[in-house]
Amino acid sequence: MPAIETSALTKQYGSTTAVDQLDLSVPAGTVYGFLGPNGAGKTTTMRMLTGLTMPTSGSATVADVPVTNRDSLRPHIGYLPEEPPLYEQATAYEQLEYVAGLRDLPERQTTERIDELLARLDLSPDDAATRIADYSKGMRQKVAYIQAILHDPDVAFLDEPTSGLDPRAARTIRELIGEFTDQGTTVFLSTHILPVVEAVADTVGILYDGRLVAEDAPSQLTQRAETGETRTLEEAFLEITSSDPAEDDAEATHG
Amino acid sequence: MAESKWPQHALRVGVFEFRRSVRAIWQDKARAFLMAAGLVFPSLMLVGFIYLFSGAIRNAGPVSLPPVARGTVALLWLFGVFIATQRVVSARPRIDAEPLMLTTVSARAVVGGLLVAETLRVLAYLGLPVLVLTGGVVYLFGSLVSILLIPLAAILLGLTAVLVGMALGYAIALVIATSPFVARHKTVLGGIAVVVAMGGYLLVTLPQFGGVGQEALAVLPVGWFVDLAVIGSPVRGSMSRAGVAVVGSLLVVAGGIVLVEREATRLWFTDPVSGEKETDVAPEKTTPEQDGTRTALADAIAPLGIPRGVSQPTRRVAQWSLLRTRRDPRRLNFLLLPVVMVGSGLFSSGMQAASPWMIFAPAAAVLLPWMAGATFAMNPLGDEGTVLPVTLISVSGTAYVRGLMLPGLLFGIPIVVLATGGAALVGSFELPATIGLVGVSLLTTLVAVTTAPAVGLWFPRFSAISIGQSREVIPPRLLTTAFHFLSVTIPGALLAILLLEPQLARTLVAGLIGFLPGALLQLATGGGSGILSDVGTWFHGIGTAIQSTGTGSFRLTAGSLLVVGAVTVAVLAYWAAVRRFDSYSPPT
Repeated sequence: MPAIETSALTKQYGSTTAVDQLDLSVPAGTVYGFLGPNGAGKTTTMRMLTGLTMPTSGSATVADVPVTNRDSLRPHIGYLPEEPPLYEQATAYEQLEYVAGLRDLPERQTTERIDELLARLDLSPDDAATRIADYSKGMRQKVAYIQAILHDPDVAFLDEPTSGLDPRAARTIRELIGEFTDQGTTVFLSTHILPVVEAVADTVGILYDGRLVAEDAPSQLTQRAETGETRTLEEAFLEITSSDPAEDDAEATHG
Repeated sequence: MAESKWPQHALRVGVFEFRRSVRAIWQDKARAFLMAAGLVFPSLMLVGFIYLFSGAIRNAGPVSLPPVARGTVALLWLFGVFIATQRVVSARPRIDAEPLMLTTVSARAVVGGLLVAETLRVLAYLGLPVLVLTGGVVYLFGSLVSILLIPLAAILLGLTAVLVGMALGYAIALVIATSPFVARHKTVLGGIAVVVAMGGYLLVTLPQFGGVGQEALAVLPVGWFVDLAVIGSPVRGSMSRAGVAVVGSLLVVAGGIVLVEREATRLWFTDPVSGEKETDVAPEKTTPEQDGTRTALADAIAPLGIPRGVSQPTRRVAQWSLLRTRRDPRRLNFLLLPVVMVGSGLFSSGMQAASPWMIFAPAAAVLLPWMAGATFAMNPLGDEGTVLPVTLISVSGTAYVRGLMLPGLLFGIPIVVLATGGAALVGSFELPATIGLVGVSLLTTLVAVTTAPAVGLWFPRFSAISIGQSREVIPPRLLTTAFHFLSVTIPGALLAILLLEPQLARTLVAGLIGFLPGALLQLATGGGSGILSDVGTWFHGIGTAIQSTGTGSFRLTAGSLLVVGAVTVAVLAYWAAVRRFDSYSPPT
């Protein structure tokens, strides 16, 4: 059963179409790398899939729950937006305890899990007892990441999870993503750091101007069909997103 | 060392900052309207006064400038200093985009820019009334010199008040940045300073309170700007005082710029001490308890606490709401506006009443419940900031709204009951009236606490521009605050009056519902006949019917309607808040 499934999912803001007829099917326990240039509609898609924005038309389910049913969707998802969602006035302990409490997680296991994840991401107890206002960007990103996965969601939506992290922490995050999928968690990953996608994603979808213009395994996307020549994911991304979709449509219509 | 073109740079920075302020105000249309009304209305009244009494004013002949006029101007100047100081300390100790500004122009240019911007803000408030006053003096007395001197007096008053306020503000900000003790206790110390300032204000504006009138301030040279402004008019001031005002202002400007530049430069390039470490969770508290749980939030809000019997999501929202309020009390600034506006009037009435407690007790029964509701939930979505998406996908609307209401109920009710009951007992109210007032306070608290999340969730505010660079402090919309305040306090006050003075309540209701609209409609028709006149007569009949109702019947009927209405509003507001949260889409 797909963990994420969308059918003709569309979001319009007035006359602007942010996401246009998106069809996705992401199997459970896999990592889906969601790429696209700035303004392509990635964040809007993630907001629709997390129930934060209602689609204009089309449908979507996450963990078999319609995204329009936010109450039922909530326990199944974790979301790390691009800007770390943290309270400046709280300490990491307070912030994580707060969010765990909102999700009504068992308090004892939560404490253990918080300590384990903090240690895994090199955040000391003193760091965790310091107010977030005094954190570096990387420390904020680590806490926000722990917050998104604390409740072992069925589907984790991660927007730029390695942004601002040092190489060691970025590697740990990549390892953690691998461990999730081993446990059956599905990861919907949006990032501009293409080597991360190349390393962890089972499937890559490229969104351009609100439309899904390519979708395949990273190894397939990097193969040039005509010549069999291998290119990097970055080269493939640039090539795919360099054309004008309107022109492609016209060519397809007339061609 | 400042660059050679620092005055031009300062001017450019100041004008840019001022334009940003204007844009921020313009974005909040309700606020812009209220501010414009606050400027235009007094100016129109001044125009009307000058027009209506022009003959009498012209014929009055020369008069001496009374000391109370100098005292009033001095009080205005002191108020300006207080506001400027408070703005520097709490909102604008540093300029926005500080790394950009301080690596682009000199600190002196930045200081000058901030001074220009703040002075322009003051002049924007004073501009229209000063223009009308100048026009009026020229019209009445043909005094052409007033075209120069009245605006000059206003500019010098504004400039010196801002400069002195900035000097004081930066000095205080510097002490906060360098003294761990002051940094740690700045909220308490700031509260004491505000209370002292308010006390001083009451001392001179309410002579019956302390026996000191505004004329006592006439000895301060800062009140002598009025001697400059009246030159050329029949009002006889003192030329020597006017001279002192001008020369003194120039000295203050010259010395003030140097002083503020030194203070601000030291502040901006000093590593501030942290007053937070010792209030943080102590390291020993960060280890889990014996049962394996950690209680960071509960420890942080101690000695306050939320009972563990409350469901965990609701408890966490309540704990965080308390903690946020404690750690960022600046977000409560909005509470001061209605409290000061209504509170000073009530205080004045109380001092003039036979026993002040006759006013204070019912006031406590109505005003404190509003504060209990508004303190924790007037802008919950805006308070969430960047965490809002996570909160929306983590907790149900029921748990969230209950969590917002809980602190107001848990801590508000005891305070409200104690204050109301205590004031009523001290005021020698009879026992039934005391119990009744406590009942009114409980009902009003229930309404205030349930309606605050509903109003706050339906009209969130996400912009923090008006709080300077404090992006994490987002006050609720002015209109939201006013709406919640009026919808809680007007019915609450009516219920209290109904309890204590039912005849007065009956007269008020008859007047507001019947006689006033009737009279207005009659006025609109000019006393003629027609549909409007008939409707006016109908309203008048309603007023008469209410007024002729027996006091006991009126009290019972109106009281029952208010109580049933309050409970209905509380229930509906709760459900509206839950539904709003569950269906809310955060802005992109």
